[in-house]
Amino acid sequence: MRTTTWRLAPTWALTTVGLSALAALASLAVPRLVGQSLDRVTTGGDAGESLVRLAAVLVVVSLCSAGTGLSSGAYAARVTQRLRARAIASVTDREARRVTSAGDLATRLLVDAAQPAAALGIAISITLAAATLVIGLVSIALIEWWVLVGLLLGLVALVMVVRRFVADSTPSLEAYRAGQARIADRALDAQRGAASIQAHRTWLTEAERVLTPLDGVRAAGRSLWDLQGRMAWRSGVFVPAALLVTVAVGGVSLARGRISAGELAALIGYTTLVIGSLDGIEAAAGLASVRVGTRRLAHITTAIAAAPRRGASPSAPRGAVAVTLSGASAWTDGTDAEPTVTDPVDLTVGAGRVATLSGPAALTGAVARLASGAATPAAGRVLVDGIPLRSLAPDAHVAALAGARPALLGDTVAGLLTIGLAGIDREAVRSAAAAAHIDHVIEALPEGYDTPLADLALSGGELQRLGIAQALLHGSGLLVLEEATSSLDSATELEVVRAVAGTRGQRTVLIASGRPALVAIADDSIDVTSASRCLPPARVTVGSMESENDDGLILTGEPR
Amino acid sequence: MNAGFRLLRSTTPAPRRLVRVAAWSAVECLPALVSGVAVAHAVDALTSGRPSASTLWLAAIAAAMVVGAAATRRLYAAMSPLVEDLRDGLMTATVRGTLAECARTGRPGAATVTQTIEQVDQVRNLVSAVLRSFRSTVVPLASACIGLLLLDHRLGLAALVPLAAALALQSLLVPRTVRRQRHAALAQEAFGADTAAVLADLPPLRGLGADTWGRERLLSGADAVAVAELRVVRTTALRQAVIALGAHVPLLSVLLVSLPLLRDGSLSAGAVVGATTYVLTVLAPAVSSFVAVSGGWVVELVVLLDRLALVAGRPGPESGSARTPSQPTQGYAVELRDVAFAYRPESRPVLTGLDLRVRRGEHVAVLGASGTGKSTLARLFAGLEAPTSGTVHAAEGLCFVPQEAYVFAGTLRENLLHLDPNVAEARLREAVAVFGLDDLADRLCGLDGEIRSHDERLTAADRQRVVLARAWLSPAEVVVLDEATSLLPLSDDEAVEAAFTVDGRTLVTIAHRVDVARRAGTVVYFDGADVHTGRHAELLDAHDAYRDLHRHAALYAH
Repeated sequence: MRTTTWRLAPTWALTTVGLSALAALASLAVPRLVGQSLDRVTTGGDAGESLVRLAAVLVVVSLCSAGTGLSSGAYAARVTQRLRARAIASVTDREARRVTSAGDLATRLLVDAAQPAAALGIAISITLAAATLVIGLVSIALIEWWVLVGLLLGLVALVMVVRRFVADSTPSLEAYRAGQARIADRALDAQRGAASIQAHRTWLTEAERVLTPLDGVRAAGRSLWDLQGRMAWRSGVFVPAALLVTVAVGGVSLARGRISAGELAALIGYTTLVIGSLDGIEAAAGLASVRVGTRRLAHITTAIAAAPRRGASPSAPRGAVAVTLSGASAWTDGTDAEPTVTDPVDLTVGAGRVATLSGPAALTGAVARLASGAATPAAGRVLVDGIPLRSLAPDAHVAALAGARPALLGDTVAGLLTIGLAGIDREAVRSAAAAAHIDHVIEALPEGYDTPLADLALSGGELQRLGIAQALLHGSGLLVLEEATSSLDSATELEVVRAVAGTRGQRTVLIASGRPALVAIADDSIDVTSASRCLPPARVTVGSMESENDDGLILTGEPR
Repeated sequence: MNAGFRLLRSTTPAPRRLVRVAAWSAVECLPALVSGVAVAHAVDALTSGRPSASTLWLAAIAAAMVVGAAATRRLYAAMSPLVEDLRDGLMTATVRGTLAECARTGRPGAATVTQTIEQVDQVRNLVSAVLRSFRSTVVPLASACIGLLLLDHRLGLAALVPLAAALALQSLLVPRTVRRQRHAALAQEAFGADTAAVLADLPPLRGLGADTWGRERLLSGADAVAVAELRVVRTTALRQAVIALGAHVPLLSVLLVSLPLLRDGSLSAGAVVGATTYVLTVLAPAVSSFVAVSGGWVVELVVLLDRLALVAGRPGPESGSARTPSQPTQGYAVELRDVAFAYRPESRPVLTGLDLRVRRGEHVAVLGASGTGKSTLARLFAGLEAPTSGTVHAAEGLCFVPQEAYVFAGTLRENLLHLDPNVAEARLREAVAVFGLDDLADRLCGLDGEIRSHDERLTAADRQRVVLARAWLSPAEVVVLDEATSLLPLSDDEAVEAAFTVDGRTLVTIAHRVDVARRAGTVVYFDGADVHTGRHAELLDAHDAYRDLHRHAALYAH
């Protein structure tokens, strides 16, 4: 990935390279031109021509530098934009498994994505520095080669120091970033616990707790400073020594008449150039950040590269759909640590039926996410009316899931309800809100359906009803409720679920809930029993009254 | 801008440290200060056949260089605590500001905290860059000016006049850069807020098949950031004019001015070599650095501190509670007298004329339909809301458990000991057993197993168990549970209630499960706008609606 970053904005990359090279070449000519002018000036010759030449070169330097500033800035902005676009596409792709926490993902998108763009600048700095170094050294040798000998001795040592720094600082930098990400995660958690923090009046101790990783960040920061200090000191010894060698050796040559005063000035100028070019090599220290950023970004983009592509099925089923899980399992944990997979499940729910799922919450939740397409199966298949769910176009909106908490995005209440949908009229929004028994709450808001989300203060139960209305609008053929009524009182819960089930025939409804009472409304009740991970996979099929498999594991799916 | 600098000053502990950094920067530049003068003298001494004088001048340079290199090391040592303290201070101030707002409003607020943390780090990098740039900007500029004037005041003036013009031009350009940079920072922030919000809500978005919406939203945010950054980049082209004026013109003017002076013999060749050395090796790089620092880093710093000051300055909750500070009558845990409450003066009151007394050690159940004011009652108990009229007295150390089950990234132990870190191990074990957390502890590999942010190994019910155990382990004498068992099996309710009441605590449960009424000493029933209080049996006799509620629930449970 590192080698191809520049291809994201090739024109700007080439312009930057070209102009920096030109600026560097022109800068290289400056000391010699100054030397010539000085000789003309001090010997009383006609300095006019050489001064004009010097002025012309200086103009070129200025113009090229200005151009470099423009193009390198444009390059960085474009590359970062494109890297972010790529990473955004990866993390929002539903085929991609979540590889890290939301806070960490955000850090990668915001911070790490900005790093690789710096690679070009660093590469140019290093290349130009190396070129300047060589040309500077050659020019020095042409004037007085003894000066060169002194300079070369120090150079080798310096390069070793810099290389050492890049290697040493990478772990500290990673520790530093990781510590920051931990603070971000904790802070995001704490924000979500705002009501508890308010109730317990613990915000000061919470702040302390959120900031616990700060000690680690501080330690990593101090060690980075220490490394930088050591590097600067070592290079600091070299720089003065180099200048001293030039002045001493050059001075002796001047006294012996081997070189002119102008040539001595040129020697000093080239030595300064050579030393300056070493600062360019110091830019290599930035490579450590680039490396860490590139790696952290690649980590989320490769997660998707490995995932199979979605095929687009030409047609989407209309109306209620039959949903089938065949050997389907879901990832249970979205972190790097050790992603595990739920037991495979087989089940079928007929089109237009209302079914409840019971069993361990982890498994019913997985089935709910798989059936609604919120999660892509780790293994097995999920079919609606015989068509693989993942092959449907993203905007088919056949199945939708209402969870314990709705997506609180969009600008207004109506925007939240129709998020990502086009051409939904207000009437459809109203009737979905009515079915979820939330219409009167919305209408009582200051601006009704156009109330900005920022002004919204709703209880958990009201939010859940909003989530159900949201899902009703998003799933034309299948509605999955996963703990979607957990914050409602039983009377309201029953009313809402009844109203949703009242659309029976229009859409299939799958309810994953810990409430046995909801079974009363359902056509089918499916026990998604699965023993622990070490037992053979659960096989559940609606229609079999009771079955005992070879391992003696009793699994039931009772039709009602 | 002022707020930004106030924040910087309040988080930077000792200005003396800044002085130390400046001092070491100056010492570090000793070689730069003496190089021009020393080179001129050394060259003149050599050409006039005085090698010993020349050697002395070279030795002076060498000594200055050794001192300079040693100063570099000290400079880093001086900057490290300064910059790290600054980062710690800013991080603490902004995290506190973020949480202060949460505590004041009880709501998460904008999800910009990732952004804020990143901005703190940018400030750290910028401040260290600006501090380090002393040695490449302020110090060499000053030393080059002094050196040039000492060498020959005519050559000095020839170099310094264009330099002054360059600095004036730069001061005109900076405000415009600040404006564009601020715009870019706002775009960055908006993108950051969107990123955090969309990524956090990605699971529900996927559930709706609306993940493409999230993607489009983030992509357009990234585009806006790029556009704003390009506008900033365009102002950088003008910087080159300043550099040309401050670094290139002085070189030419020094050479031009020296032409007649050399001819009439009032200037030595060494002085011209020395002057060009100053301009080429000290002045020119210093001007470039100064332009880059003042037009880039300083501008970014001003903008960032400005933004951070907004976050750090967010007010926390009003000190103490909204409740009248007086204690309830002896023997009572909570007393409400003629309480009325409305969220806004113009809105319909949620509660009116409510009188309620909760005896110590009593179990009170609060029942009623959604939206009738049950949670408001709990918030009044907890002192999170003040009554519009009437008085609320509640015992000190009341623990209110809101609906959302707050489990944070950290160990299970940390989560359980959140409200009282000094709980004995035996009692902690007891809590694990009583609230059925053994299974969770096993899954996390013990009490010290880490819970991650958004940990999918925890079910919503697990979270409720953790929160209940946490409240149980708190020293509070009065516990108010708002729908805190809604996701647990019905059969667990009784055990949870018993655990709280067994050692004489006062328990108030707000529940939608009506069974709790049978076990509670007193029932508060919200019947629309009316509130009835009494024993379960009394209410069954007195109120048809209450009877219906129970009959309905009984049917519903089967």
